Amino acid sequence: MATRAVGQLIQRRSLLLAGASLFLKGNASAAGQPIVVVVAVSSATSDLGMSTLQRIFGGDQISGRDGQRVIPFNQAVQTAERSTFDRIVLGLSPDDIARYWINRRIRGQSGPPRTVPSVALMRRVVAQLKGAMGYLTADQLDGSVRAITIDGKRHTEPGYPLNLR
Amino acid sequence: MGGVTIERAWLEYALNDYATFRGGQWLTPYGIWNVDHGSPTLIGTHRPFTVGEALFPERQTGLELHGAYSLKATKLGYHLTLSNGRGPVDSYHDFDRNKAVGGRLFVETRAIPGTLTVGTSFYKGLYTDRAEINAVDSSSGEAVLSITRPITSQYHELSLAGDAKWEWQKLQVQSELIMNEVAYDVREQKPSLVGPFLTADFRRWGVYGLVAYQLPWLPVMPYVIVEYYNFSNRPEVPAAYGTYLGLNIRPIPRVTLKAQYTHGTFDGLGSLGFGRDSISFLELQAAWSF
Repeated sequence: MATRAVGQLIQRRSLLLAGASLFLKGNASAAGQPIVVVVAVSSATSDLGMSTLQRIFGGDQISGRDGQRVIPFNQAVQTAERSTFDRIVLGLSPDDIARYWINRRIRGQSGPPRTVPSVALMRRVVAQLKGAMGYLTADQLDGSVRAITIDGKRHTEPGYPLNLR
Repeated sequence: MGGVTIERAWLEYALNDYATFRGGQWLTPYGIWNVDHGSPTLIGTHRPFTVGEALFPERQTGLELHGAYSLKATKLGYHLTLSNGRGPVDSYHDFDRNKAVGGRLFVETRAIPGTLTVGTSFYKGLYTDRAEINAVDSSSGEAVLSITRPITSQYHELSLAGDAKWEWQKLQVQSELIMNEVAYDVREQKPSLVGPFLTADFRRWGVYGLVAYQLPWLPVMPYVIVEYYNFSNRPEVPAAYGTYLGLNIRPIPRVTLKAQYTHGTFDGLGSLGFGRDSISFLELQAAWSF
């Protein structure tokens, strides 16, 4: 009986450790990688200033160099990518960002960018919808979308603004 | 008694990044407080007197053109308005053919620490009120109903405003200076009891300043507002000073709890003795946005 209890305890601890390991792995993946802003491969946009990026994801209407209205998409709420992006680009914590969008709605201003629930869907939407713009971590990039430079810097270069600070 | 007021109802069409047309009923784009407007967004429990006195119309019905141009960390924006102007039923009927015009110009920059917004606004319009007189004329032997709508009050008004807001980390500082001038139309007989406190043509203005700081470890924002308000340019009515001390607590983004102590005094008695007493009160408010 005592042996069974110890076995259950070990099993529970193992599960806890496995869960913690998964949690850490999920966060480390987002935390260790820079955020990249992505557009369709065929998009005319190749670079954005940080201030323009702030305006696009902060609710302003901005058109690209080809005159196409930029349609921003957010990652799901409470993902590490989303909170990292909001913190670096808009300078707002998750609570602050919620207040920011509520305040804008009360002022009669535009609402937040639409949210896509998964990275795979983000890549598909950005690849297929004209003018769409989203963000991923660098390790989530594949050939379906193209990363743009921010303030003239690639995500692999030192001084890239969307690196974790 | 209660009721629901439609504050905004409009449609808009974005021509490009720099110009958007809006038609319907909209909040007058002036200053800070009138645009923030809703209780969860506003810091204090009530508007400063300068804003609450509606020196600009709070909302108008008509057309608005607005847009902005951004250059790096600085945005230059504008609003131009054409509306029915102020009137007793201006949301659906204009009692004169004189449309009101207005506008706002603002600069918002992040080129300094924090975000600084500086703006200026104007409004020019004609207020008209009419009575409706129904009479039956039977002098010709046949009863004829005649309806006339004589003007009972009409004045030109000009409003000017300037505002500045600086947000840096958890600190917010803002101020608005607003002026409104009313001149009754010389073609109409000036009523004897018009405007604030027995005056005919008048000018009123006010200014307030607000400092608020969001505590870093709690969703609590203490704030202080000081205000000066000049009701009119007549000696009967003394100007007023207001001081507001408060706490703005936002436990979750959708809920705001506020407590505010207000103290008001007058600058002398005035010729009618109106400024004899000061006024103090405490307000508690809960606001929920959904």
